[in-house]
This record gives sequence, C-alpha cells and structure tokens, in this order.
Amino acid sequence: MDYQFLALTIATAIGISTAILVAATGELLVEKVGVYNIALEGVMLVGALTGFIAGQTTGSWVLGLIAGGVAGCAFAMVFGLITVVLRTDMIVVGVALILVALGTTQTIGSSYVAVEAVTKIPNADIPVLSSLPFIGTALFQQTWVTYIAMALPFVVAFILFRTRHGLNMRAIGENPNAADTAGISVIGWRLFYVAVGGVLAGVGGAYITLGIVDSWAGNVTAGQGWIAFAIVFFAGWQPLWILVGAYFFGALSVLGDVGQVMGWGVPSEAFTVLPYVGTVAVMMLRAWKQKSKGAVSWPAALGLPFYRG
Amino acid sequence: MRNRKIVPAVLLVGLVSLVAACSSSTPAATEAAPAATEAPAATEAPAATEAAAPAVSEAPVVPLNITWLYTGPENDGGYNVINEVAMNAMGTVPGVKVNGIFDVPYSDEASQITRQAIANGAQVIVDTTGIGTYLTDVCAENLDKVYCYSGADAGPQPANSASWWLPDWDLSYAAGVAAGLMTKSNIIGAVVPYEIPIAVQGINGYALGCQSVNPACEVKVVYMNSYFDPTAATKASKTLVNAGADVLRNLTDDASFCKVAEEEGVYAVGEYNDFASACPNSIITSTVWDFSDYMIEEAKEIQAGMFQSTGDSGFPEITPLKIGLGGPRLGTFGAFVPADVKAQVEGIFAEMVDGKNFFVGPIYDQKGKEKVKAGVELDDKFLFHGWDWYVKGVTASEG
Repeated sequence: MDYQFLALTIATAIGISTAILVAATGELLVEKVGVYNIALEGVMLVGALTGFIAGQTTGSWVLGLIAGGVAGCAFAMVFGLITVVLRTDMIVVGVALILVALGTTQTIGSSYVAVEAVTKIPNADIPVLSSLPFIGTALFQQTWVTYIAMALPFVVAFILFRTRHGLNMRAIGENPNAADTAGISVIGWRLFYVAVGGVLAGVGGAYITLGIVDSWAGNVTAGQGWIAFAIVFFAGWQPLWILVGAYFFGALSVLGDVGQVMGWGVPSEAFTVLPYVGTVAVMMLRAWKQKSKGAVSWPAALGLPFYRG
Repeated sequence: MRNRKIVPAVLLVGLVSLVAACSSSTPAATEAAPAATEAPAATEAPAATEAAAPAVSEAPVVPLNITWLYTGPENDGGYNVINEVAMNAMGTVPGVKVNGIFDVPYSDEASQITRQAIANGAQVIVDTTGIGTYLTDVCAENLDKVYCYSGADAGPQPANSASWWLPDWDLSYAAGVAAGLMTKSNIIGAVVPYEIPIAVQGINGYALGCQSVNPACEVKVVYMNSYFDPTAATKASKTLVNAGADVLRNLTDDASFCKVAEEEGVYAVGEYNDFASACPNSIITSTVWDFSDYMIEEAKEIQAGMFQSTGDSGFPEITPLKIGLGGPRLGTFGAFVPADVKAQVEGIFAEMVDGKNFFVGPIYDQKGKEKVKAGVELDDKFLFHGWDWYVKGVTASEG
C-alpha cells in the first residue's frame, strides 16, 4: 500500500465515521446521567430525513443540519418523556421507537428517494496544515463538521471531569438519590441530556444524508445508530475513547474495501462483517480486562428509573 | 450487523415497509382504453370519416393484471427506475394493469409476497430481483393461475415461467472501451453487489473492452454485498478513487458511484439507467437496460393465449435480448466527451448490434494463463453461464 493511498484511506475512514462519532458522543452524555437511549438508530434516521428535506427546501446545509438536530431532539424527547418521566422500560420503548422511525421516515421520505441533493457539506481544507505531507491529506481535508466532531469528545471530557456541572452529571448517573438530596434535579437534567443527545444524533443523521451519501434512502443509516450505541460501551464511558472507538470502526469498515482493491485474496463477505466482529472482539477484551480488575466502568444507575426516596 | 443484531426488528420493519410498499405502489393505471373514447365527440361533426374507429374494436381487450417485484426502493435512481420504464411500457398495452412491489428481500418472505400478489389477482409476476426459487416454487404451485418472468438465470423452471436476459457482456465491453479511451491512470474501478455470474460477465466485458483500446488498463472491483446501500457504495467508490481509479462504474443499483466521481473529479460509466442527468460532469455514457419492447411483446402474447415457456433447462432457451434501438443500448454521452471517443464507442456498439462477437481469444485469466486460445470465439452460452473466472488485469477478492 503506497503512502498516498494510505493517507487517502485514513481520510475516507475519518470522513465516514463522523456521523457515528457525533451520535456516540451525544449518547455518552445521555448515559452519564443514567439513561441509555437505545432508540439512537431511530433518532438518527429522523435527523437524516429531516435534515435532507430541510436542505432541499432551503438550499442550505447549515439549516439542514440544524433541522436534523431539532428533529432529533424532538424525537428523543418522546423517548425521554416516556422513560424518564413515566419511567417505562427503556429497551422496550427504544426498540418500539426505532420501528416507528423506520416506518415513518420510509413513508414520508419516499418522494425524496434518489432525489439529487441541492446542497451538500463542502470539504474545508485547513490552510497550511492541509498541505503537510501525509498528515495534511489524512486529517485536514475534511468538512467543518468533521473537525468539530473530532473536538467534541474533548469538550465533553472537559465538562465531565473539570467542571462542577460535570460532577453533578456523574452524580446523577452514579447515585441519583444522593444527587437529589444535594438539590440536583435528577429528572430535569436527565431530560435535558436526552435532548442534547437527540440533537447530536439528529445532526449525525443529517450528516449522513448531507455530507456522506448526499441523498435520502429508506434506512439510510443502515445500523450506524447501533454502532454508535455500542461504541459508548466499547469506550468504557470515557469521552476520548469514543474518538478511538468511532475511528476504529470506520477504519475496519474501509479496510474491507481496501483489501479488495489491493487484492488481498480474502472473501469479500469476511470484509463486510469485519467491523462488527472487530467491535465485538474489542468489547469482549475490555469486559475481560475489567473483570480481572474487579471494577465496572459504567454509571451505576445506568438504565434505572429514578424514584425519589 | 443489521442482519444479526436486530433480526426481529428487521423482520418487523420488513412488514412495515411491505405494507408501505403495497399501499404506495404506483398503479400506473392505464385503464384509459383509447379505443372507445374518440367516438362520442364526433357525433355532430362527421367530418373525418376516414379515421373510422371500429377497426380497433375488432380485437377484444383482454384484461391482464401484472405485478412487478423489485429489490430496493421505488425510484432508486438506477436499476429500479429503468425497470419501472419497462413496467409502465407494459401498462400501455390495452387491458393491461401493472403495479410494483418494492423492497422484496432475498428470503422466504419473497415467496409470501408472491403468494399474496397472486391472491390479490396478479395473473403475471415479473421478477426483476433474481429471487430464484423463492419465485419459481410459488409459480409451480400456481401452474394454471399465473405466468412468471425472471430477469435472470432462475435455474430449472415450471412450465408457466419464462426468463429473459440481455447480453451485458456486450454492453460492458462498450462501457470498457469508453472508459479505456478516457482514463489517464489506466486504472478503472467498479462497485459490484455480489460475486455472481452477472458480475463476472460484466467485469470481464468491461476489462476486455478497456484493454482493447488501452492494453495497460486494470480493473479494480469492490464487492458491496448488497444491491442497494448508498453509504457502502459511497465508501467503496471513494476507496477506488483513493487507489487511483479515474473511471468508476456501478453494477449496484443507485447513483452513489457517479456522485463520488463528480465530487472527486473523475469519470464514470453508468449501468442499468441513463445516469447522464444525475451526473452530467462525470458520466461518459451509460449502458441502459431498457426491456420495454420485450415486455410489451410478452404482454400481448399472453393476452393472445400464446405464452411460451423458456423451459426448465435454463440457458439455451433464454435468448439474450437484442440490443440496439428500443432495447438495451448506450445512453447519453457527457458533453465533455471528445467527438472521436464518442464516435469510436458508438461504432463498436453498432458492430455489436450487427452481430459481431468481440469475445475472441487469446483471453488470459488473472494469473496470466491462456484460457481461450487465439481465434476461438466465446459463444453466448459460455458468456452467460460458463464464465467463472476473471480475465487478466482484474483485481477482485475471491470467494
């Protein structure tokens, strides 16, 4: 594999991982306060369609991304109201909402299938940096959304581990009763972060239709929401590991195509499952390591409804 | 992953989408029987007497309900679009009503969809998806109720079934010539759904066509393991460009390949549909799978009670459709294509239409071994059925 091809391949892997990275970062925030939004795939789909329609109508990808975020937020709030406020089981509600999203977007979006995008997110080469050999090609010829997505986990890490609010968030996820006693609104903040996670997942979805495939198709997310969900576990609820996880997945999924182009002689089906097998393998490795350390890394109250007292 | 992680979900989703597909399926209803409408208007003015309508009313209109099965969504921008053209052409035959069912999966569910369509009154099933035995089994159960058409090699078939195919090796050869004349890197790429015979014919034709005008030409293939997945097609197309390919081609269904080509500033040749309007700056030309003439003919034959099965033995009875006007042909050329390139590609295609065989030895396999001796012509049967190795200059993973 020559030098330039490797750099371009890394650039492709980073580019296509953007949606997953943004959605996974949002999901991390949600899970840190003790809720897992398993409907992530559905939220991304809603964002993907709304973003695309808004982009088509207004001709602006910025408005498209914003609309995707707003729609994702609204859809996630449905999940939030049912699970956080009404305390219904998150898995059941989440799976149901995914099906709702799939069916609804397929029906509403049918007239947008294979319609050419009038607006798309352009690449923004960073001056100076993008002309560096290798690294410039690999990292600095992406879209603005990708650069922001790269920075997002660092921002989240700062908020979580360097601010008082981050301490409160972690308290809600670890011990909501204690947090409640300390005067922190458990339900309020949980709802707030479900909404924030929804915004990010919606933007991630819109990035797929406006930045990656530049079109809408039924089930266009094709499981990226599930991968984002898995990456949060994979990352052990550590923001910077989200970055690693998203790019690891992206690299494996591009590797499948690269192997074929290079003629490595491995069956293409093996390449197709590679990212998923790889993700499961790393998660098992992580679980095994944790077991030997005798500690768990997930928020202790993750998935548990909050009852005062 | 979507296949494993959310199997129950996918099943349910399939149901949901099936319901959606059924309810939204475009009954491109052509009930507008043109025969009778004209007469009443002419009551007061008997002027144009020579255009006497009765001539038409001699042939009784035989009602015929035809259901088409598609893989992937309606209006996918490629393969389904061109099949819908043929479906709607069939619908122009007086008495014929057509409707389409989309997102038919390659699974037992396809059989259920077919049974349901027959229960809903379909007298003819046209399968564009290659669901094979999922279709033929149901047809065998309904010998006297339905006629079945498969747009591929469906294997042994019951007596009420027929298959059609087109010489994609020829179309691909023409596409390869176009690519070979335009490429600068001498590397051309293709995004291919699965490792299936159709892919081997298409890629070999593409490679030999390219090498006929450009001996250094290499073809790189990426299998997507799906017919319709825009994200995967985009990713695969980008990797091909990264690896130096400057002409992309699709054997997959949608337009992602040429969108990537537009973005990366490389060329593309389209397959199935005419992609020139979707990607005006990258599409050199397209190989258009227009089945309209054949479908219209078949509908009329069924109405006349003259259905002919292509038999149960597969190939010899499946006559590849004639290429040229009114059938599979070359699409619009890009405005940027030099006139001499266009003339050369069109000239080769015209020779094909006249019956010239471009598949003549020596032909070498990927390892450089001579598989077809100099001067030996490959016949249609081999081209359609027997070709299970890639030619020299093709890079593709082996299954």
